Amino acid sequence: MDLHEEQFENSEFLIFVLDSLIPGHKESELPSAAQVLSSNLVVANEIAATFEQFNNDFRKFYESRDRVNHMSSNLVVEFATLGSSSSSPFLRKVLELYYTDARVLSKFPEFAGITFPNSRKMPQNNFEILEPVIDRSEKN
Amino acid sequence: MSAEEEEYDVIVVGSGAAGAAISWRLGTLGVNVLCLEQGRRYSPEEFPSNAVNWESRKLSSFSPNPNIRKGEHDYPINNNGSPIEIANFNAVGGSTVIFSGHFPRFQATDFLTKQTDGVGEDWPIQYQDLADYYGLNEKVQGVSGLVGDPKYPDIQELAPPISIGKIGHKIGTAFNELGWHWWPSYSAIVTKATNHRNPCINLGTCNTGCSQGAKSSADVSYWPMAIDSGVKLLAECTVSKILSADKNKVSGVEYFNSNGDLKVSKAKFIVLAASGIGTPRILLNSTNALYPQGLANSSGMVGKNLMLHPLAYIQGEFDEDLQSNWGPQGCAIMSQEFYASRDENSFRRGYTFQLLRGPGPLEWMLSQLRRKELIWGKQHSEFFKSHFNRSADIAAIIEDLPDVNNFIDLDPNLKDRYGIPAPRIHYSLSDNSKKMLAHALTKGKELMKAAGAKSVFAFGPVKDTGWHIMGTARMGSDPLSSIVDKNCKSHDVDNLYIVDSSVFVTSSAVNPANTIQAIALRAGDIIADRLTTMGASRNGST
Repeated sequence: MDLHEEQFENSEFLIFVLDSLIPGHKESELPSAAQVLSSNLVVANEIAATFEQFNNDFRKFYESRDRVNHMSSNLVVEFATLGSSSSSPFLRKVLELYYTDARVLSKFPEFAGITFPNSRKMPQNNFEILEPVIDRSEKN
Repeated sequence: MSAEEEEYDVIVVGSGAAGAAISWRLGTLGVNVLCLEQGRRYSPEEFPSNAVNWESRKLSSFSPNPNIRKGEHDYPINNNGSPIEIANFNAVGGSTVIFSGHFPRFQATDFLTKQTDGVGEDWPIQYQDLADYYGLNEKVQGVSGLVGDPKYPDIQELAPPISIGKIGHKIGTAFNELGWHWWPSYSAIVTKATNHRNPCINLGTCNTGCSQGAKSSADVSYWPMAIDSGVKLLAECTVSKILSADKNKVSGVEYFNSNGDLKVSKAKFIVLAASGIGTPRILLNSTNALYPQGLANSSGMVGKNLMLHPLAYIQGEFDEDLQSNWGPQGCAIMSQEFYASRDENSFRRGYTFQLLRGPGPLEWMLSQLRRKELIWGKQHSEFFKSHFNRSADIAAIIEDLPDVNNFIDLDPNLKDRYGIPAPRIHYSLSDNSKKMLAHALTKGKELMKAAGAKSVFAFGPVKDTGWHIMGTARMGSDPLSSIVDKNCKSHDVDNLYIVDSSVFVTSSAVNPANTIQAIALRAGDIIADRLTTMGASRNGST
């Protein structure tokens, strides 16, 4: 992506950042972070509100890397991975958006996405495993 | 006559663990009871677990931290003077609505720390004074577990234990390898259907309310029966003061009702069950010419001796899928291997290890973000799939000892929506607690290594875990160093009782809810006996 000064300012850049952080995955049919942005307007607004700080700091990072006019997803990922405290509120909201989205969680049914009144069958207890605990207490 | 205008035998302030238990007990004994609760009533459909965004609500409207939650019925808390922030929930059922349901009893030695270990103070009551009330409470609540624990009081009756799952077997095996004690958790969670309750369905969303009604939060366990017995429960009523016209006697409470109107209700006895932070707040705010430093506070000890159970947290990462987040969040297995003092340790008393089920996907990813271990970009989804549900988390509940330098007072500036001063926390970890915490972190890492963890992450104290707020109006024989006597009656005020964890003399190293309720049930019998002696009506106010 070629970056121009004004691109730091517009919403397209937010979409670019979101898709860089969590891209979609065709094989597993996972949406990207940008694709779920409209599913939760409350969190989407919080993302927009926290993006400015992220953007400002990313811009400084970008300039310090002397990569004017050469923008890439890798650079966004590199900056996010640094985990600066100023980027944290935005990144937290990106995770909140993504990992509370029905489309995302439905792709991990064995892990997540189970809500009431659905249930999970748990393995039966086999308490032979407690015999050493009882044996030790009897010896003592 | 409205419920507000009626004069009662007993007014109970707070409908949580303690308030629910004592209200039910008094109600079943025919006592005319009004319970005032500042929070509102939640229906199961309102709990976050009904929707995929439940973890998002756990970060906001169902956060355990009232300063984050900022609900209409919450009061702010100034935590600036503490490394541990207070956690609570204001609703019918109180904090039990979002508690984990881990429900062990105290041990007999927990009431005798001075005698057995030379630290803390001895309680004026002993385990045997509460034994029958523990039994009664476990029956009403519906407690599951396994009898036969060699380190636990001899109990005979429990519902079948919840599944300890893959994760429980993994960590239980590691305990065995190390030769350490462990046992399935004692859980206030129903595992068999009863007339009014459905069994646990292992969603793991316990800490945001149980839509299934399997978790024995007081709104589900005690309150339906308490109301059936005739107890009047008024929600959204914030008590500001206890009223006293005469020395040594209180007459009623002043509160803001659900419309925000200031009201007064009167009773023969007032029972405070507003939690280890809410109760001292009300007492300290109940000043008048008779009680210039607060009600029941001639000793100056209201709010003092705050104990919080600092928490050590250890997480092991494993290669295999442990189904970590399956099953009740806070209940799986526990260990009391390090519960008692040992000669080789540099600290007195001890701690309980409590295996936690893993968090949900969002909470887990946020923890990876904090640790700067999260992978962004093309490998992000693979990172989630290959790491999530492959961790085992264990908490160590540290026995905090009483210290007058740890206390709650009223903030001179911060107030709630009615202008009632907010509580302010002054708390630091003692050297004993710090040493115990360090020991727990070391032993927890040893445990995870024995279990085969490929990496271990550990820290403590955990900031947002001030759930167990104890000791701020403690029980004792000496009116100069305690607030209530062995019967939970104020030393200063003849018809004022305190029945929540404020009265704890020491903290033990287990979750306090079972003991809170046992104490409240016992106090209920004591008050009922006094009413009988006074000749009060058992079927209405006199």
